[in-house]
Amino acid sequence: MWYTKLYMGQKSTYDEALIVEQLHHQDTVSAAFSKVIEHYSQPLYWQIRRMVIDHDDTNDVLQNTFIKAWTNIGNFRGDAKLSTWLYKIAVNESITFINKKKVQNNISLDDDSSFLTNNLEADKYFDGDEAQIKLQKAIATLPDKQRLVFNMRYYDEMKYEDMSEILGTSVGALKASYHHAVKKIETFFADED
Amino acid sequence: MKQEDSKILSKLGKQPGFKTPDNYFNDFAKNLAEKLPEVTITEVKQKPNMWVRVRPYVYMAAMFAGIFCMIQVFNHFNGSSNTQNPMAKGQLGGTEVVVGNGGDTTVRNYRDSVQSSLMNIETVDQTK
Repeated sequence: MWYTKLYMGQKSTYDEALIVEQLHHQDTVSAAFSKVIEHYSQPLYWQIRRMVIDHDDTNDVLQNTFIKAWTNIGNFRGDAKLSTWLYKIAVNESITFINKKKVQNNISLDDDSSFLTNNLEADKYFDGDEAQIKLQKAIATLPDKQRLVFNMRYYDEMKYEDMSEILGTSVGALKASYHHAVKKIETFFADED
Repeated sequence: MKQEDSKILSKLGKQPGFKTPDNYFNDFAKNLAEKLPEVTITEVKQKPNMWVRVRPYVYMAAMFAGIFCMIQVFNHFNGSSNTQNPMAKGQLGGTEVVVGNGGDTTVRNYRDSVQSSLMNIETVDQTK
């Protein structure tokens, strides 16, 4: 799977089918969910971090994601993949968080999320160079959905089919969205130069 | 993937430059486990599908249909073997004995015919 590259050499004992089975029983659900947290905290963290930029905000959103998953674990019947279900929750929590931030900063919900990258240079958990700061600023100008698509494809190299399950959008629309995102980033760099 | 990316993106690489505090992920898992509320899992037994529910009735219907067919086949062959056996058909002295409805009548006819034959024989003897 696309997220296993993050785990090469780690967590080799993780058996998703067994974990999903254990999540359905009262006596095994806690232990199974602990394994889920261990397994998915990193890929979900990076997905959320690229959306909300700040580490502390990412930590809050990640916690909310797992708490929401835990409180709704009885509704997870295993029809979809566990990873898809968790990513959907993480995506929704990220967008909800960004919208709340926009409201707090008196920014229209239709505006881009450039305000998130305002303090990137001062962030102690960011050690990127000028080019990486510029790329993050360019990505922040994209609409939220396009930003999600760009991050999933560019950084995680996620398949469009997997993305389609998480975002509920057709593969064709996702390809078009990624193409538009790349063009906008190119334009951003061209305007800055 | 590389075909999709622009020249600018291929120069930048795929490290966004974000980092986390030391041991963040180990601590995160421990801290979160303490914050999770109690959850009760209701183990819902899966509802059997339509086929599973009607299967016993279908099997029972098939069994009765099988028994009915066997009886029909048995009757068919039994009937045809009766036709081939004149004794079974009751063809004694040219008078047919049919067992079943009206059987009494035909037996009576047979008896009458036998009696009349005997009377004829007696008459012939007397004339001699």
